[in-house]
Amino acid sequence: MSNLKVYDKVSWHFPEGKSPDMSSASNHFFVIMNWLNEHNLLTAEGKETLDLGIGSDFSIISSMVTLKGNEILNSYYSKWIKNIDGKTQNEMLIIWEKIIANGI
Amino acid sequence: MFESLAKEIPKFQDKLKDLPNESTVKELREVKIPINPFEYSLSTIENQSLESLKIENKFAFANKEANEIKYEQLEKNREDGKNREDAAHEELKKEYPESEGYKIEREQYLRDKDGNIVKDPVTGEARRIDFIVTKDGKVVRSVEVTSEKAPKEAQTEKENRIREEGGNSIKDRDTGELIKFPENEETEIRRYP
Repeated sequence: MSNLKVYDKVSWHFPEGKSPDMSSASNHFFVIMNWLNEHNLLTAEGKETLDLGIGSDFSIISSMVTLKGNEILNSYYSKWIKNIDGKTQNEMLIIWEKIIANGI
Repeated sequence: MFESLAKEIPKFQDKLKDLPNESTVKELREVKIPINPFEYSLSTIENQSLESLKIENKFAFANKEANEIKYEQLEKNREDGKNREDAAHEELKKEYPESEGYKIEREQYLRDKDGNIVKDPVTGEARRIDFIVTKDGKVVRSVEVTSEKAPKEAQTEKENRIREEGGNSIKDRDTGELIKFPENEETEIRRYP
């Protein structure tokens, strides 16, 4: 598993207690993890991780999602993360689905 | 009808006494009112509204700027965090080459002897370590990557509590085997700019 890809981590957004706050740093993880789960794109490891909740050590990595999930994250995650600044969770979800629908 | 009205006349006369006489009216006319009261109040309202609007706009702009800075900071933090881990990964690959039997695992949760992820009894969180180096079924190095000044005490304390609760293993993603931490192995904190 040396080719494991790390897509995103809470600690990258929230370096050990520095601002911005934990909530700002973790909002989008709820959105993307729930979406992946609802679309059956999480592996057993992904589901196990989701059950733990989004804590300060949380991360999204390639082994947590299926092949299809990885294709989607590889294609759209970086684009999405740059467009969700200051958005609510609902807005983040709309943007995510729009990006995927448009195949941007 | 006229009789009843005539009865009311004295009352009106009394009231008339209370009304300002000619001189009083003159005095009143001489009182200097700088601005028409109506105009004054209107102008105040207008100015207040304008001022309020300016202040509101100023605050809205400041908030927008603050939000932009906040989210620019989020994005920068993410980039910085990723770059630090990439740098650490490259270093570890050189220090612990695959050709010598080392394996570098990323994002590993601490688990108990049955493979269950152990949660910290204080925070309720699990502990996921950035890099674990293994060899021959043993953990030989545990590494946490962070910035130069970020405090790590809370995270270290959390990890210690989880280790005390029995979270002393990780699971090899390729084989599914549990790999135990030696008792003396502590997570090393590597700091990068």
